[in-house]
Amino acid sequence: MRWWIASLALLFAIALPAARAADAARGADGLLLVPPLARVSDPGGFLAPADRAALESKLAAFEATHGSQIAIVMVASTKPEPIEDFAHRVGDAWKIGRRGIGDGVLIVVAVQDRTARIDVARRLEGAIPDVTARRLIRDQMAPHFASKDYAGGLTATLDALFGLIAAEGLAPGTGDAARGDRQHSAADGESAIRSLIPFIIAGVLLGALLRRLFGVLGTLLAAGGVVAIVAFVMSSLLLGAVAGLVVFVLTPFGGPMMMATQVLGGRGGGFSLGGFRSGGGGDFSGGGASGNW
Amino acid sequence: MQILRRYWMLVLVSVLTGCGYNGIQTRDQAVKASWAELLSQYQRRADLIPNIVNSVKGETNFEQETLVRVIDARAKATSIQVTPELANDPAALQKFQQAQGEVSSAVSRLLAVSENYPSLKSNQGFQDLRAELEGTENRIAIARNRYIKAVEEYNVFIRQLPQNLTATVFGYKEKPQFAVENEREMAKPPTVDFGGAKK
Repeated sequence: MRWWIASLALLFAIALPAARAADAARGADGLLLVPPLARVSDPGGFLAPADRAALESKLAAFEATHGSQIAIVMVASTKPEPIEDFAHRVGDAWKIGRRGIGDGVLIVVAVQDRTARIDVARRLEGAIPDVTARRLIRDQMAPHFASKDYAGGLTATLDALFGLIAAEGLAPGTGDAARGDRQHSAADGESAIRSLIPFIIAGVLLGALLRRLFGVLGTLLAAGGVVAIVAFVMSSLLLGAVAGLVVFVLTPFGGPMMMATQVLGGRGGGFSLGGFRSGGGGDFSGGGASGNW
Repeated sequence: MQILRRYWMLVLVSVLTGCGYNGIQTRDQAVKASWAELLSQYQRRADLIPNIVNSVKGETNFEQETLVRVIDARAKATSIQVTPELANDPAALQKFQQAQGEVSSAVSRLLAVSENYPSLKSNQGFQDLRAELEGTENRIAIARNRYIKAVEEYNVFIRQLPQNLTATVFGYKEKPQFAVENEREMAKPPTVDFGGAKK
């Protein structure tokens, strides 16, 4: 049944960005729900799409070179909850930062509250002490935010954060950051290929159907479709070609292949279609600072 | 005889691993670790308070009552001897919690009052101390919640079958829990009204 879930997930991944909610969702208790994992989460649309994309690729590039994961959450207001509590809930749920290292930073901006918080995972509390975090908010964010230039303030803050984290001398990144990073190094092969599995499964399924209708031509069609979708979603033509080739080769063995992928998928555990996967290592235990503008 | 003894060893081992003994150990250690973390955050706050008090003292006509309250609350909290038994004694734990809660509320009042002094607002040293103190308060709130969760998990675990039998045999008792009230709520900054008295 796993392939069913995978192909459903694929459908959702394509449909979801179009149907994005207008503002951050709230639970029955009136508190904000933890938004879905993303490098830049901005359901209220406080950032222009181009700015958002620029921030995302900036964060992806930093993760690729230095490994540390930074995420930005923009909301209208965290009220009635203090921003610290909301940020902690998000940090606790996302656990961004590499496993075994735990180097994550979460930036939360509550636009209407005119409050921001930089939440620092424990491993980086030395590189970014509370005082420094507070100064970043005051000196880098606040001046830009005061004139509603959120992208500018965030960019300046990120540049400063990058410098602080780089100086900490953690293990370098593996070059693994799918979205925005078009040069995949050999090292990230395993995880990239693992994230191809759902596409391949969907492709083989489709291929088996088309093959019955059109013969070898159908298999080619399915393979081509997978190439296009993967290249689009993961912004890598190379990965697309790999996935397409695998689909083409595997389609005639559709049945046995299902069994194999069930085993593979079961072991792989979780895949990311947007390209951002939390390392799951960040322990957010209250480090960082909040500030107003 | 030899074989019989071995057989009994085997039974004993399988009973011990199947009776939740290991599970009790794991959860007991988790409680201890989160307690230690909470204590170290309380300690950090106690260490920071003299610095912030000193930087405020330089401010002429700073509300003395607020200052005295912080100093007294800190003295009272640090006078409580933190022994390992403290966490297992409901009455002592209650007293300890109350003393620490008072420090929280006195500190947040001090920080709220300091907003009214422009020279403190522009004093970089004070602002840095403030960031550290706020950060520590936030860490305390989180460490406290994690401790509550760890104790809850432990208490629920040792009450279930078959662990409750094991717990009785080995003398593992239920641990007292912090009161549920939200410390952050207690520490809510009071509304400060100078009524134009400060010139």
